Amino acid sequence: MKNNIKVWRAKNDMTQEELSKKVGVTRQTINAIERGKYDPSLELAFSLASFFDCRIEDIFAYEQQKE
Amino acid sequence: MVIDTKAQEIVSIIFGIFLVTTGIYISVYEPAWVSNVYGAMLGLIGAGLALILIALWEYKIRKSGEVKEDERDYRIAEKASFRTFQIMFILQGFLFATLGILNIQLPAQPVVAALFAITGFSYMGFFYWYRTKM
Repeated sequence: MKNNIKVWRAKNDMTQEELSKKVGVTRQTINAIERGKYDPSLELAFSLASFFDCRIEDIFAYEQQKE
Repeated sequence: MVIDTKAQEIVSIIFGIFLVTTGIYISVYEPAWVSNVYGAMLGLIGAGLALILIALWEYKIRKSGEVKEDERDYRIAEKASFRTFQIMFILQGFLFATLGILNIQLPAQPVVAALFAITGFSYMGFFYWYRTKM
């Protein structure tokens, strides 16, 4: 799963810490999502989309796993 | 499923107090049905105090509103549990087979204590390992 949370954060001039507080997770989770190490739950994906006032597809894009 | 955190904390504290009280009772009255007074006292008081302290720690975090754990921890816990299960299953199977083949009789208490400790350390180790990987 690819994501552009970093871009959305930059657009909103926010730090990982600030975003994590807004969506109720730890800063480490936001960091792990940005680095592509962790795919968020549907609930968190919706929270992020709702916070940035956009669609989930604007933040996340499905990427086929390499065999 | 929504778990009522407040109710969970209250139940933990009540159960913790019960365990500590039982431990104190055993150490003071030394009832005949307890074969190892010192071990039972330490185990019960230790478990009771741990439960009370964990509940108070969770209460403090809840009141401060600070996020200390989140969904990533559940994914990590899932992986750590599965790895621990695999290790324990293999280890116990191997132990069971070896003891059976060689017809070795071990005292139950130290064996259970060792398996208990291995389970705990394995889980903690895998949890922190997966956390650093994620």
